[in-house]
Amino acid sequence: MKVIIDTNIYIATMRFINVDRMLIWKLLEEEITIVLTDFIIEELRENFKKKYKPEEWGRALDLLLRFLGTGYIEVKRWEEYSPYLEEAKKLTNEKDAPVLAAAMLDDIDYLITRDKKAFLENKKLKNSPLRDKIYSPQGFLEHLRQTR
Amino acid sequence: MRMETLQIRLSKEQLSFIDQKVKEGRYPSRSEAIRDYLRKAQLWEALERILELGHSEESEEELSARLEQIREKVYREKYAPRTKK
Repeated sequence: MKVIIDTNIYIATMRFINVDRMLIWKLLEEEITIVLTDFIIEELRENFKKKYKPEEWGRALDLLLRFLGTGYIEVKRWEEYSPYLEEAKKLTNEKDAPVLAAAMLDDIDYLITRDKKAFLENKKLKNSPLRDKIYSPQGFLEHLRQTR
Repeated sequence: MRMETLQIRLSKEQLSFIDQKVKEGRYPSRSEAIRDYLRKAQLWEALERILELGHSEESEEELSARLEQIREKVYREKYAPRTKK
């Protein structure tokens, strides 16, 4: 199983012991492949640069990627998912389309996100076959409990 | 690396969890499995410490707004130009 975790979940793990941290642990424990994209890594870099001192952000990002790397990870590049970009732009905001486009790849099973506006409560997505791929962290943990 | 020998007690469930991983071929031995889980725990602890350094008291709304701004910036500056090629 391959799962894309949206940037907002990695950032939310900074807040406190929460469902987002539980989700990452669960994915590693269940040996589910976490798929990163070059776009998500770039966003993480920008977020970490803003949150940490200049001498700390690189180490923080490195630690996060190393921790994810203790499980199964895969990186999707722009060249792979950009063919789906135009279709994705019809379903969500332009700036969110790179994440949705990657989730449209055939080998991606799920997109887990906290973004209600762009994904979780987006009416266009609710009326598309992609709706079965998109979950909140809590919703995905529940889905795993029921299906595994 | 020089290894020390340690006798530990595990519950039946813990032992069967480890044995299952070995059976699946994920680890060559129980020892290697336990060492790997310890490595993950160490890395997680280091990660938790650094994540907490980045912790701020911003509300859910403030966090969403900040993430949206950054997504917009990354898209506009680095990815939108590629779509025009």
